[in-house]
Amino acid sequence: MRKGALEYCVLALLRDGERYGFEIVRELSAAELVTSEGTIYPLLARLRQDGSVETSWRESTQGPPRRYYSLTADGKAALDYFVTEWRRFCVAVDGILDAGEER
Amino acid sequence: MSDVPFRSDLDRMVDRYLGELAAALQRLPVSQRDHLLNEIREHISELRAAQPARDAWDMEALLNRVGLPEDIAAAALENVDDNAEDAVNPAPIPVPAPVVSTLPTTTTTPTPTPTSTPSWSRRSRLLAGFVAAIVLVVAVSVVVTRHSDDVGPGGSPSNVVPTTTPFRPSTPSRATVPVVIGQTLAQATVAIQSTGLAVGSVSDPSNAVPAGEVLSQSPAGGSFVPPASVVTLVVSSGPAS
Repeated sequence: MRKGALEYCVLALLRDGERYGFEIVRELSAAELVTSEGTIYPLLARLRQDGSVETSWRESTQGPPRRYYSLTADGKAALDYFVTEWRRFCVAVDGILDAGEER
Repeated sequence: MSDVPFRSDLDRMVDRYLGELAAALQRLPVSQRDHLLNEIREHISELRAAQPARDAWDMEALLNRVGLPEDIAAAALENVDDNAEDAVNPAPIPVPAPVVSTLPTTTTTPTPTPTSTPSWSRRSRLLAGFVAAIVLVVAVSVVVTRHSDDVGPGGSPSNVVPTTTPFRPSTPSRATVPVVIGQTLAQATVAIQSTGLAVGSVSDPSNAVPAGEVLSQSPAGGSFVPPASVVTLVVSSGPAS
């Protein structure tokens, strides 16, 4: 579940605009959502294959050009759908967990 | 890195890590593998830029943070099962700047551990000695046919002289450099040419490595380069007289 949610966390990070790979990984790492940072890149590749994100090269002021990721319309739609489902899921799970504690 | 003419021990830890990752990614389609290796390479560069590794322990921690090669490979291979074909257009790959690497021919050892670094240190001092000697350029060719505006930063060996080499019209849009250190020049030439790349060789005296054996290569094994690029080898000419 964690892994499935991670994909959408990546999409969510791109909601406000494009970012390059290292930024995305750093955010997820800071939120303690990933331990092996390198595993995010295959995930980014999959999202690109799925058409949820697209990439473009940008010159960098320091170092080599960077590959920037941005959300596609499909990716945005998938994210919106997930957010709705996730909220509903959380409410349902919380309801059961809370009921369990009260007994 | 511009102030460091040769690969440091820490660079070599990165080379070795990437070599292990490349080996772990064998099952991945070439273009995906190259793409991933390049992103991981860049990630490591960014991490190092943000917080420079001062010693092998720092580098070890940094590489641990990136993850075990097998873990990254497992994540990558998940993509393969339902995406047998590299459907999306091949990603442009920045060609890494040429480096002299002492990546060993066998890259099956697990994640580098600090305890293994002393041998690197010895080896690097040795190598520095070799490379400090006069470098003789023998032959090379550069036939880079593919160029698109989104190909990243390029790099080609600066100390090589273009000559003619039959261009092999290979189908892949890029090639992975084989690891050839420790092989004879003949073996290395076969291995490199079989991937559609060209060989440039340079000889350098070595007391430790028999004449004719490859001391180092550039780009490193596991790197990805445009088709028909040159892999420059430093070949031992035996003990200096």
